[in-house]
Amino acid sequence: MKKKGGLRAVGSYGLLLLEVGVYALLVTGYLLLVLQSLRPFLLDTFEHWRILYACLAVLLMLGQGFVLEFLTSLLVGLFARTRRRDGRATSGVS
Amino acid sequence: MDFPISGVHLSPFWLIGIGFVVGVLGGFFGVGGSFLAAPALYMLGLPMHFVVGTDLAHIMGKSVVAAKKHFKLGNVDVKLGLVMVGGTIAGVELGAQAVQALKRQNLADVVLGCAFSAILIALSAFIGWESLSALKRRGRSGQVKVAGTVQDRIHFTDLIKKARSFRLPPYVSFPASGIAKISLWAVLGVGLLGGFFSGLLGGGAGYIRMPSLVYVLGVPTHVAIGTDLFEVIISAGYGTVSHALKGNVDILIALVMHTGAAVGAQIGAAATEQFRGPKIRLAFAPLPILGAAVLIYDLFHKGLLKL
Repeated sequence: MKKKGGLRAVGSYGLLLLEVGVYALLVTGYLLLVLQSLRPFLLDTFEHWRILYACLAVLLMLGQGFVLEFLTSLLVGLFARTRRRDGRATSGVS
Repeated sequence: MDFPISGVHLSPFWLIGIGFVVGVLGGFFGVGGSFLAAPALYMLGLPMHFVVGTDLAHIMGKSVVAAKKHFKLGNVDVKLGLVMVGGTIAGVELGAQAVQALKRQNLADVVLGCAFSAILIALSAFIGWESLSALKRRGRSGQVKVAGTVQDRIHFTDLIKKARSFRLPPYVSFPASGIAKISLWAVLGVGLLGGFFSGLLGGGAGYIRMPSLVYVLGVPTHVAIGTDLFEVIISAGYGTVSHALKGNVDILIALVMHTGAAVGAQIGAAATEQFRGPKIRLAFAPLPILGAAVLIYDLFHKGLLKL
């Protein structure tokens, strides 16, 4: 029984690691693609159109805030659902 | 990774790591986390005026995530947050103007660094003493009555009594925070104080506003955390625009930090459900000292302060 519980715990943590891995992959892609491509544009606005830069700064932060909140909620929700399912399976075995 | 706006080369992994740590702390304590993020960014090599502005931008994005979570938990007093906005914005502008004045005299790094350290140490000592005293008062429930309303168990109630008995109309009430009647000016004063430190030292100034909400207005700790985050979004948002116009924001650094903070903020906010007010405050107490220690080390390391 103990061994089964241990295997389930390893499975849950494995899933969490997998989700962190997926998140890390998404973030890396985001850093490489989005931020790298935005860099020259943002530098130009910083140097020549400061008001536009200030507005973009707020919009980008808010936009990223909502997108990442959605993404992390989704991942955390998936993890919690899996934990609950594992919990039910454990009580069924017991 | 190169950040051409501020002209520095920083590892994105460090930025994401810092973002994650301050995200967890911010979600749990309702603070922006600038007391740790600002010294850490400064230590990585970002000039102090960019630290102030960039930190504000990162904190605004992170607080959106944490405030949304706290709102779902019923920890945000929206009316109190909206009433405080006037004082907060005026305070942020005053603080940002003070930074500009110091920049013109090339004193920004030394003055801001020393002022920040002194405030953080004083704050740590006070909160540590107060929360320990509150926890020592055994034999009572987790809450105590102050001025007729049920509040957290708080040892230091002198300021709450003074704020509640401050007689200058108009008066307002905040049922969600257990405040039956208080002068509008006392609420605006707390907003002004937090806003000033936000504009002057960067971050959302939650390290000032959250304790002020608890110890001056008498708001329960959990509601203070959620409401402070709501206020941080507004003050940090205004501060971001103000500092971006003055050329103090590297938005690319803020965006990279925020990728780590988004996860951390969710974890921190969910963890508040497990603890009572005095314990949260006691856990918060050593953190500002940590930030002050890093800052003081940097000031000596960069030769700005000498023994």
